[in-house]
Amino acid sequence: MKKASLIGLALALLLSISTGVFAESKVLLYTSVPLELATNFADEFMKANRGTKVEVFRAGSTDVVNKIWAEAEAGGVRADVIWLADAASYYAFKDKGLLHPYKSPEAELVPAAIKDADGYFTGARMINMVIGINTNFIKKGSEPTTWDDLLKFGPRAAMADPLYSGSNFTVAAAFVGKDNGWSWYEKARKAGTQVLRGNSDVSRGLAAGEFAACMVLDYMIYDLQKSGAPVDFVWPTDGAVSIPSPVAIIKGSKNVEASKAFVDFTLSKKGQELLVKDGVIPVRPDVAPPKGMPTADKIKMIPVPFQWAADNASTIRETFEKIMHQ
Amino acid sequence: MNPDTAITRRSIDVRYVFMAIVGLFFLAVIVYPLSLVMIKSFSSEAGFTLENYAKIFSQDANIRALWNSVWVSCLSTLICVAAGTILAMLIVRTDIPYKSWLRMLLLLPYGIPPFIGAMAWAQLFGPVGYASKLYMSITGAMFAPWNIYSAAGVVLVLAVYQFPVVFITVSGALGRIDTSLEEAARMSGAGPFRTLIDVTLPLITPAITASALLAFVGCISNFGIPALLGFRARFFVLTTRIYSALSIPDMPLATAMAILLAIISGIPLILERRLERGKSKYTVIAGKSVRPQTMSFGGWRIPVFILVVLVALFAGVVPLLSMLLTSFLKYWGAPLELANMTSSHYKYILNLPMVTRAFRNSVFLAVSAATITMAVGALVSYMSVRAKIKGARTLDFIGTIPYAVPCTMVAIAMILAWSRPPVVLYGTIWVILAAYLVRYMPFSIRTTNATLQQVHVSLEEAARVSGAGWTQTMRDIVMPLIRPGLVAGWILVFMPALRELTMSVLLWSQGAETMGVVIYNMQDAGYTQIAAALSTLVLLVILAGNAVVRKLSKGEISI
Amino acid sequence: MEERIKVSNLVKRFGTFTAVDDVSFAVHENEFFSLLGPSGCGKTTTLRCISGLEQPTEGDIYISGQLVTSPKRNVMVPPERRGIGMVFQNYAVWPHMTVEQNMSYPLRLAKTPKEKINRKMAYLLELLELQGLEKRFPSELSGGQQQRVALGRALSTDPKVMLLDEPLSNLDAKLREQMRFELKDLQRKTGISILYVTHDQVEAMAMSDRVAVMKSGAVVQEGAPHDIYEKPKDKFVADFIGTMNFVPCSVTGRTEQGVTIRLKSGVEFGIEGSSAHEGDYTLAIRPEDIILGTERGVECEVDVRIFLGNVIEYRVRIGEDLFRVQTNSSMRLEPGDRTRAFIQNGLVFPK
Repeated sequence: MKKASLIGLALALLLSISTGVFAESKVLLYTSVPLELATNFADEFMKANRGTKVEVFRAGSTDVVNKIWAEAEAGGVRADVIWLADAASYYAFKDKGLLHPYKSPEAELVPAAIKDADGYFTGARMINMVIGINTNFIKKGSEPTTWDDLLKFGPRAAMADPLYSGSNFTVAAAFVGKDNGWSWYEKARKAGTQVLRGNSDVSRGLAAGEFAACMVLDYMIYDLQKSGAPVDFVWPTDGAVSIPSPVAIIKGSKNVEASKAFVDFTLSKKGQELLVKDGVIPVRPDVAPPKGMPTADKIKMIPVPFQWAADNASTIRETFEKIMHQ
Repeated sequence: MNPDTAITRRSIDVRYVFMAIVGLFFLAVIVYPLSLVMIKSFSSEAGFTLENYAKIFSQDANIRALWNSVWVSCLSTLICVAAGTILAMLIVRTDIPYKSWLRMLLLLPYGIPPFIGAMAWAQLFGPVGYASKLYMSITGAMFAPWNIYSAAGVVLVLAVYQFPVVFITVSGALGRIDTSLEEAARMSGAGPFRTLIDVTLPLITPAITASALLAFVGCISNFGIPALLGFRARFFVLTTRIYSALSIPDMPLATAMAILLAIISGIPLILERRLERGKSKYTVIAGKSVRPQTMSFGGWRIPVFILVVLVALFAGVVPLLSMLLTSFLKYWGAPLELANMTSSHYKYILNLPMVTRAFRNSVFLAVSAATITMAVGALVSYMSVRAKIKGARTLDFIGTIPYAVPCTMVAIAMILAWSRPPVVLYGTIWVILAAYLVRYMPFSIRTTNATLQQVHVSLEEAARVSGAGWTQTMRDIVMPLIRPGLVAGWILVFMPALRELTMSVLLWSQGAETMGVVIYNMQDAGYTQIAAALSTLVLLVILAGNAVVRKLSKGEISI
Repeated sequence: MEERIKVSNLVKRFGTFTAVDDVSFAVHENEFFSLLGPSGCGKTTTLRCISGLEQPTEGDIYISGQLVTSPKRNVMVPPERRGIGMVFQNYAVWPHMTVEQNMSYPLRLAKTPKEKINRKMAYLLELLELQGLEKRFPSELSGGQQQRVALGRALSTDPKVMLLDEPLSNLDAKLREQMRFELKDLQRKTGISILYVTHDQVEAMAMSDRVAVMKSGAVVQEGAPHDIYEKPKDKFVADFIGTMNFVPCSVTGRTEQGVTIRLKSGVEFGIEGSSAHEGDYTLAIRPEDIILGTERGVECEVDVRIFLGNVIEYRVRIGEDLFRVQTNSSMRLEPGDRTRAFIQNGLVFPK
């Protein structure tokens, strides 16, 4: 074993040396942004910043958050930059001192509502929880327009589980608010609205016709529409839930300058335009949204009490579990 | 010193040296990381506590999940053992035609990630699945009479997934039985069926028990299938509860539940050891080579063949076709029309540089994990089954327990153990290998145990008498004799390792992507079709590899 | 006498390979019959066909007068209904059953009353000297004991016919010799018919009433052991049974009782009982048929002497040819000694 571990050690050293020597600096990105989009982003950034290498680790937001916590426990988060959909976790990260503050010059145009006042993180992607519909079942003019309308579909409607999906956790935080108003979820339980694991399960079920309507992320429907699925979505009149998907720099990063450059790039006009191609609404008002989508300031949003959500994350998830699963 | 004592001394030394090496290896690779998890389960902000365990039992939902885990796994294991044993007998010991094809068809599902498989089943038997739609259009019913999103669905799909473990192990054992033992029963007046019950079954019992144990633990630690199929029915098992606890996040509770799961899986393991102790060991492989004897079905040959084909179709081919279909669909669940078909997903993945890299990494990891675990496992097995060295049984036990630890927890243990100096593996491909070694060690130990018990000790003694040292005997006699068992075990590790995802997803880093990681990421981002296309590719790699190995070994080694 | 086993025109092909080629023989009541031949001669396949474990390609098999196998007439009685006892080469005692369970298994299958089983077990345990071992597992027994368990199992139902497939080949020499007597004794005591397969000619000679020598799937010669020993039908049988000196020779003329033989070296002598025509042959002489130190006979020189206990074996040179000679006479010859050798018996076979 000693021999094996020595070999392992030597190899590990070799690997770290070989990757460290050739690129001048390196940015390790942990993200829950779809892999293709994330690698695109990294490639474009590397084209613009020769000498900086971006490595991408992509997983679902719950997995990435688990990884970050486990790494923090084991002696330090390895990532330089994180970019997740689970906005509330950033408050927890900030509280535990895992983040490095940075007020990007590119962030000036980003609405104050989706960036941290102290600059610990900045919303870099606007994804929205909307009402998705299957056009085979719901004809034009009879679409559900409010979140309560969604419940009328009973088990023919679905949503993802906040325990697995960072976005849906944000929704729960927004719906429940500070006054612990779980009534919508209680009604959903009574109506038999289905709870699936992730938003991809929800959108797949919608496309396949298992559900007539659902709570789902806008860009997923945009994607499905492109591949010809009979789906569409409506902006709820009582407000969508916008998830800012922030970027942040990890405290103790050995590549703070390169990380700053990467954050700048995500917030820049060019970076935001890359997002638009994938059906994501940009955070900058000076970048045109995808075809048929509104600009960020035109969306009616339910405000999200992020700090409260971060402070009460366990309670929110536990309560959800109690109401929906037991 | 006279020459006799010199020989004795040397041989004992070598064994103990090997034993010590394996012991250290286990200590570092298995015990150290998992004990970190264990410590976590007893910790709170205030220090040592039992409250995490108390918390498990204070919530009804957890107790229900615990009970669900147990009964679902028992039932699935029963189904796998029954189906696996019967099919192994039909394929190894009867004269039904196209055996090697049937064998391959039955084993295919093992090569795809469980949750992709579960999705394939859902696409067929879900509320709007193709099979359900077909049923509704034929009968005019509003609903299909089945629901894959249910406890029954979980049991069924788990059984289909664990079935190959039983099938491979039992067919290996059957192939090694000295057929004259069965013929002796026939000559004693027993009909074919009596012979089966009185002689064949007892002889392969060690193999059946070993594989049942693996299947049970495999079921109880599975996450993907209950997560996808049980979720909607609000049917939770321990692994899904652990995941929930992790996302709350309540790591101490999650670790406590993981430890509980490991304890539950330990119970049958201990039971098996108790049972074994009471019986005298069977040694079935005699020195004489055996000619495989097959039973003739006569007129029943074709009906039985058709039955096996139906089972193979249902368990293996149909879900795979469903997956294949998905990989060509424009979107999941699209009506089956040519207009909705596209090959763009394949074009897309073949142009993704990450896919090539992931393939390379996965093959490297799967081959290394299978080879290393088989080598170490064979040693451990030898020490405990044959040499009966004190402490070897404990190694055997330690090597088997991690199988019961949920993959997510193994991955977290790896992060905790390998990110600090002096040994920093985290962030490289080696940490994934370390995780695989922990996870798959039980397969090798269990399968070689079963095989070794069948090899007569005299064959080994003959080699020693012929002047071979212990290491030489192992290399020249024991290893070749248990090779069929080793090959079976190797395949049992290689196939799931090639498509492993739960652990890799937490441990990968750029450059160290695995196929599982890419599949998972595509699936998670909603690109189910691309995930299906990738899974199809993995399966093709397995099939191609099998064809090559088969050709090279002249049909001796194959799945 | 009643025919217990009758095999007629048995043929077994595996693909293109013919393992058994038109074999016919019969085993009678209370007879010990051996199939003798080198490995691969088809003897085990023949036995397996009789047991019903193997289905022949052609030919009929009768057991106790009843047709049990006939591909032509589509008859194939399964092995368990042939009422035959069988002992396998590797004994095939079941490792998961005790001695008693192994031996009583056929009786239990036949739903024999318990006390009858007990009586039978007691008898067999005594007969086979296995008392006190009834609760042991085979892994705790010696090879000889396992072999006796297998015998006991085959005997338990009092079969009229028993098949034995080289049952002694895995035993050590001493035990093997002892078991030979026991088997023969057992057969006499129980009165069953035994079909015995072996490649060991000494074994076959010692135990059998009749022997069939097989080669390449066919029976070459059938008869009582001494007949085969003394009058082997061809060179193969002569070589396979016992020890034989083979030298090239030619027959140069007839004598009153036989023929005159000339060796390569020109040495000439006569042998009795042959009526071969003139020409080139192979001469076969048993070592005990050369008598040394006689007045008569041809000149020879002692080459090597080996002391075997009851006999002395010499290698002698007659002309240019070397011969093995066995004698139990007290006369001592030393290597290099010249003496005379009288050939008292010899056979000539076509080259």
